[in-house]
Amino acid sequence: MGVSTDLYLAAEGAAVAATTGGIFSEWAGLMLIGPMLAFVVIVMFGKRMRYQGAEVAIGVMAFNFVWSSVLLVLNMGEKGVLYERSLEIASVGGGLVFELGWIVDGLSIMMYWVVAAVGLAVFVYAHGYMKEEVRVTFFFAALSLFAGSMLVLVGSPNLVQLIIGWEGVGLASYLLIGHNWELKENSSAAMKAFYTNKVADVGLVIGVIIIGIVLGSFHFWDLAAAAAEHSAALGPVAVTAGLLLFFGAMGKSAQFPLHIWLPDAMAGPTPVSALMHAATMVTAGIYLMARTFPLYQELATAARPWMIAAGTITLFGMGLLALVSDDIKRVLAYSTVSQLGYMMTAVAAGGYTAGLFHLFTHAFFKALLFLGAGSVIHAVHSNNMSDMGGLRRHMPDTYRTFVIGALALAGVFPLSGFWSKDEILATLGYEGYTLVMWIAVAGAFVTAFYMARAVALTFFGEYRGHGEPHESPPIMTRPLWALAVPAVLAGVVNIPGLKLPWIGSFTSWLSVRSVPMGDHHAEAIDLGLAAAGLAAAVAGLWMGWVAFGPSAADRPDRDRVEIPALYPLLRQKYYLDHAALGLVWVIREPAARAVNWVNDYVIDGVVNGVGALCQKLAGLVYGGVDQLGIDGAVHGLSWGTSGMGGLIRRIQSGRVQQYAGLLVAGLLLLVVVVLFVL
Amino acid sequence: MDLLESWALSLIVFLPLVGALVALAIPKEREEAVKQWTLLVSVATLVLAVVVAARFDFGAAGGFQFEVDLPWISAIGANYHIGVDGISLPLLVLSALVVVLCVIYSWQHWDEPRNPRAFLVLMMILATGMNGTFVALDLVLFFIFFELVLLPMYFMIGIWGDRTMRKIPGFRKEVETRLYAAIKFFIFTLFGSAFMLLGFLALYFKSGSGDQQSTFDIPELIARGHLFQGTFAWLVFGAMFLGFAVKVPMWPFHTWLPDAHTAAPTVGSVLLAAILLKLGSYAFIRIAIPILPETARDWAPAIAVLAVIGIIYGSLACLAQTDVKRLIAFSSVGHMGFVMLGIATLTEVGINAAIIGMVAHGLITGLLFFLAGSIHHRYHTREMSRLGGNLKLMPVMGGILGFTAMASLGLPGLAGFWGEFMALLGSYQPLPGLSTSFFRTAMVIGAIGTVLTAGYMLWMLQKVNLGEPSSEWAGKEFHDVDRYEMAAWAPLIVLIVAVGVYPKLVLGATTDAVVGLVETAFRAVGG
Amino acid sequence: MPRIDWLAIAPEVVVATALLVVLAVDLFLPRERKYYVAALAVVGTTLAMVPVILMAVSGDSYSMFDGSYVVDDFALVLKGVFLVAGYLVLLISVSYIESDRYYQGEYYLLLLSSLLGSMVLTSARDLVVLFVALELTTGPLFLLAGWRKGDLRSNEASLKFFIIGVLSTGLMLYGMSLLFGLTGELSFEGIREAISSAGIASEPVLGLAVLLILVGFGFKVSAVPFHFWAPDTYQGSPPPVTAYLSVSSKLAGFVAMLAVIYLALPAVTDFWGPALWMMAAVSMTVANLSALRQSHLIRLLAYSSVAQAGFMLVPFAGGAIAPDGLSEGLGATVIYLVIYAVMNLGAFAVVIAGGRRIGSYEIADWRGLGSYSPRQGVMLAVFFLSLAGLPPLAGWFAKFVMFRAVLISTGPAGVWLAVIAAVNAVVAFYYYARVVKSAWFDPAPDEIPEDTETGPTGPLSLAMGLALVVVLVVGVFPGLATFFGDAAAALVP
Repeated sequence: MGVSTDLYLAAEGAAVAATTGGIFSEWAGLMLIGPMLAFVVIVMFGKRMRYQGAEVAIGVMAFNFVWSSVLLVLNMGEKGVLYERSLEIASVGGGLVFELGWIVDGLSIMMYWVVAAVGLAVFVYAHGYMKEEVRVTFFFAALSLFAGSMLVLVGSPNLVQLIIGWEGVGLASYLLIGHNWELKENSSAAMKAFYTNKVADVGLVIGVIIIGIVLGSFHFWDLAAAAAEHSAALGPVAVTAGLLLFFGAMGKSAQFPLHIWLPDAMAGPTPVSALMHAATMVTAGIYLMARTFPLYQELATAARPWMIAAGTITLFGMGLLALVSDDIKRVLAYSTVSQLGYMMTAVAAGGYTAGLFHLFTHAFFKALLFLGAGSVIHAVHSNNMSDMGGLRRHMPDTYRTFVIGALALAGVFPLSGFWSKDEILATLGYEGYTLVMWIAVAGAFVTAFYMARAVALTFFGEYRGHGEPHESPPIMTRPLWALAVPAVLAGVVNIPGLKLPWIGSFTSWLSVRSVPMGDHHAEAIDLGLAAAGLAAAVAGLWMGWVAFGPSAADRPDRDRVEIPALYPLLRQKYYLDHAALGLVWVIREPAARAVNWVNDYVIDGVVNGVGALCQKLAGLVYGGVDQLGIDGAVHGLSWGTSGMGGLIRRIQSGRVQQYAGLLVAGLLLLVVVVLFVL
Repeated sequence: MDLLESWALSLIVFLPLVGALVALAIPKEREEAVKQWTLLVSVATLVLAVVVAARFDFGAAGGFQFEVDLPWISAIGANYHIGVDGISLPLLVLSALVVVLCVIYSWQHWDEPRNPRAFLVLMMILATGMNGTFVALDLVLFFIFFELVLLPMYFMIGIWGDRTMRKIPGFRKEVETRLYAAIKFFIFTLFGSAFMLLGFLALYFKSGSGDQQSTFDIPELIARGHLFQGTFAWLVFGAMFLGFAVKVPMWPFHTWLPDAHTAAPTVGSVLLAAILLKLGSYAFIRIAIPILPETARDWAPAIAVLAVIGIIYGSLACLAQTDVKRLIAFSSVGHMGFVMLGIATLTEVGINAAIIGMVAHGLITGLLFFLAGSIHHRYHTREMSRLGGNLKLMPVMGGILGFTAMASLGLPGLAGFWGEFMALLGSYQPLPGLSTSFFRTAMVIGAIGTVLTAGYMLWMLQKVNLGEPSSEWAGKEFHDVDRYEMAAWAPLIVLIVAVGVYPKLVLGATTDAVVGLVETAFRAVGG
Repeated sequence: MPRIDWLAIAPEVVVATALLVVLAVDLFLPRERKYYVAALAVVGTTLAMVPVILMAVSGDSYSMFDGSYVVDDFALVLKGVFLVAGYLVLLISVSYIESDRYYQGEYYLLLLSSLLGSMVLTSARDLVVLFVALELTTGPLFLLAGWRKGDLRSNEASLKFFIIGVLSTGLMLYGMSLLFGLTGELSFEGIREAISSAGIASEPVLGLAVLLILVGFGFKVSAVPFHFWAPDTYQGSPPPVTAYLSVSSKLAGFVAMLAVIYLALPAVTDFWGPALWMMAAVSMTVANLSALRQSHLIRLLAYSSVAQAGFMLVPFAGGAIAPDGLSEGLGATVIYLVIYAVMNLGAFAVVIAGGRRIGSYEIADWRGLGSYSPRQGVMLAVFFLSLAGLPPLAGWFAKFVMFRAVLISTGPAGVWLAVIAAVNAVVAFYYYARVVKSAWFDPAPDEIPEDTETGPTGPLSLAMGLALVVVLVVGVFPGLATFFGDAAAALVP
């Protein structure tokens, strides 16, 4: 327990001078505890509150927003904040200690702020969105639990606490995806999400175990220091541990092929999708990779190609799936998966800042898009884009903000998405992953294409749904605008070569201030690459508009993208769901049944068999040996026979002689045994 | 307070027994009086246990405290030697607590043929056996307490157990579940403990050498560990292993467990799961490993294999169950597999994992069985295909079930996580001399087991809790959790969270003791 | 005229006097007051305890008739046990015999005669006294077994018992005469010394003699394969007599065996060790397995007593294997005997009490006993589970010392016998538990049996209560039982 700032600063090659951040760091743990307490309070008393607990959740989130904003400001400029505090919760022998605590540094501050900012917007929005829904109290409780867990995760100074937060967000995700659990579909989606993550968590847990045992510590700082020093102990296991951690990250951050849960997770209410399955929770994997970045940068370099491969497949392959989806939320979901692929690829390629920068901007515009989609769904009571169209006139606020989000996502200059995507492309190029870079450019084209399609189908043409759609109430549209601002502007903080006075750059905010991250920041923008990226985006938008815009409204099959060879494959989502379901089926049906059969008929069979055998043996011994064919005493004897006569007859008939004979036989047996055998 | 020092443990052990005798004197018809009396006795026992915990010197958790060592059967060198150290203390408190909760829960929940007095008397005798096992420091005394729990449980299952007829594979006639389960439970355990006793006696005779008297004293035997070597030690370990492994239960000696748990009345299942299963694993830590450390190392891979098989096997078997109580019963096989895996590593971390795993399993599975009992009480069925939408019919109970299921699947932040995580942690680097690659394989399989655990728990939740209630229950009034249930469950819930967030509650007591144990045991062998 | 120490023979004198008083009083009592006889017998056995206790307290030992008759700790302990067992059997008998209302005086006379025989037996230190005492113990039982003259089964029981008994006695006597012929000695001490000084320890004829004697004892203690008479005789005899047969007469056999083997034949373990090992293993196994098939309570108890005899033989085998196992084995057997006597009598008392009410000894008819008569149900459970050896009932300690005695040597023979015994203990539990299951787990019959017998139940309850107290107290404080064992073990030279 205690502040060990000096330690970090003393570590080799401290990049930036730091302050402790004073009271705001020392009590930053309140941000972690607050939502957790809110969860308990809402569960216990929420039903009796005026707004069914929403006020507690929103209040806590506002508090967090303020607090993290202060930290954000403190961290700006050249001199960052660095602070850590840990409380031992158990010492388990072998020198290992489990701790809970919080860390305040550039990376965690950014995450605190994103969670609080997007969270606040979403919480407020949800208060409007969920008005007529069931179980509002529980909804806000679970949202608070999520926020708390997410903060425990990103605030964690060590890998064990990270696991706690990690699975905590998984639980919250389970609860919220399955919010309407009366429908089997929803509860199955919730289960799928939890379960897929649980599979991935095996990697995380084992990775943590390896690191913990090898280092004798679960601290991120110790890991970073060991990596920086090319620790001899960590070296041999670094690649294994790195890949295992990455496997864990693949689950949370929906990397191919563990992404399958995320589109299904759209079964949850839309605010949930916006907050968790777009802006924050799914970035946990990226965060983990960033937090353990030195490991990959210094020791586990051999793991990086695999990570890049997974990221690249995800960013391109999953983007394609967004093309064929009719469900607006699924379009956005696949888009999220694809963008997570970008981030992962970037971090894996060494673009620590690039990946996180995209995480940062993406959080705003993707949350914005989801909330916009929610607003639309709220109005038309359908997720399906074939029930929408022409909403531009009915829902002006939603329309405008959605378009801003779509353009930002597509990477149109000068919106935030442009800058972050460009930074990724630049990093890929700089690190020498040229092929990957061009795939990423192609991915940008796909992104723009499906966003154009989504906007066109939703807001242009004729309204195809039922009833009269209305714009959502201000409580929902104001958060949209609130998010639109950073969606437009967030890119400013990291324009290559531009250094804002007093604020500094995203890059400097994020440097973990003890260990050199060793990633590259372009000093000036690479105009050629930027132009290529922008061209891809514009081309995508244009082609999407042509294919699905109002001019194409008369084409009967315009909802489909005509890629004859690929279409079925895309519609079936590359058959990955089938494979996963097949695996689950094998476990649940043949394997489980076989085990149960073994239990009941083999193991229990042996047990019962021994019992039955004993009985048989008993019968044999009793009937064959003990009684030697003599039936019970008087069973054969009728009452009519006079006692003595009958007895004598029986004695003469040899019963007693038999006994006597046996007695002598027994004696002989003993003689034989004693004299000859023993 | 020397009086407390010397009497506290004896009171914790024998107060319930005295309470049982007094309860017998209360007329059967005065049920309330019997209940109140039993509650009083069990609460007093718990208070004493808490006082012991409060006065326990955690700085010296490695040594025995509150020790009493009096002659008992002097002719055979068996003493009344009791005491607690950091290893037994959490289990002792858990045992005292669970008994209180069981009394409270029983207040309004009586299985046929009722007779609260007899039931509570049995429960009190059981409490004496359980508490006694955790404090006994003499092998004969340990044996007595270890066996003492059998009879009450036998009668609980046999009299108040499940009366449905069941076809048992291998037998022609159908039998009542309770009859089959009761005798199976008993024969299995007795079989194991008969061999255990032979092992104890062998240790006793071997412990005498030169001018040293033979002894049954556990600390003394630990000190004389060097006397037990080679084949002798191997056989003795095997004999004790049989006794302990049946109780744990380890695969493949587990088959009494699903039957006994399923057939037992609710409180019986709770006590079985929460405490009785711990007696075996506790005995490994208390007796088998410290006295025969080198042999334990020879046996460790075998134990690990069985443990890992148990983990996977238990989970898969769970997936095939249709009866929710039987599912929970099978889950114990998997969970105790983690406990045994931890023990098999013979490391400080692993043994700590085992103890916290035991405590967590006691809390969580105890609560699950309470819930299964209450569900059965409401629906009169435990078939998962007929349940469903429980969360809608009884939101509070459904919520608690969900919570407990999450705890059971090892959600970090709740008690169940630490045992699993630390068992895996220990397996990565077992005691020097054990095959690292072997234990790492075990670790990976165990970790996969956690996935399967999550699988059946989530699946159970989906079947029982979620969805629309079937038409079968339409228009039926369901009482959500009543106050007795709440009173019995709330402490468990609080503890599951508390231990989950702050595992030091348990590990704070155990670590020093475990470190001492491992050091003493393996220092000599170059550990 | 040898010197006679009157205190030393006071217990026997008291019993003999009681016997004569019973005989005399019986002549003058009207039929409906015959139970006074029982009271006299009870008083007699109680009084006989007084000198036993006095001697035990004083700690002196007495030797008479050139060492043929010795009153030492071993003798005192077992006299005490016989008296207590006799006392309990008398209590058990009262109501049963009273309700039959015939030959009450003779019944008690015979019982006391047998008791007298076994008390003399404990002090016997030469072959002749031993033989006479043993026959005095057994003889009256031939008559008692046939007590229910009208019952064919009872007659058969008696006759069978008699014929087999005579045959085995003959074999034993032959063995004894061979022993005498070889050594020229009658006293145990003399025989022991003769064997070692004459160097005939490996003489085959000596082996034959030993084995013949063992056969005789095997019959008395009803060990397999000399147990064939037991189930039929037990089932046919009046239950109180069966109780006496299964306890006192078995005890007598063991006492004789202990004396002969440990005092006269400790040097020839090669002969009796393996034989007893075999007898123990086979007795346990065959009897336990056979008991699994019994549906009749008394028959079940018969096989149980055969199996228990097997367990009691285990320490002998252990004693033969380990160099220092003799006194350990002797002590273990005595402890087992003491505990067995009490718990088995308790079991019989419950069976008799329940049989009175239920009118049947079929286990199935005892279903639900626990629900309509909890007290008897509890007693039944306690005594049967004590027989099964479950802690904290006294039976566990009997089993414990038995295992201990055989494991004192860690050789394979000892370990294997221990393993066989352990498995048998588990098997035995099954049939004991079956009775408990019937009484407690099975539903009561529609018509709950009423106790219609008129005889007094007080003595029976007293017997049960006493046995219960002993079983529980000894179970928790087994040190009480080791006192007997230690005292008795001093016998070993």
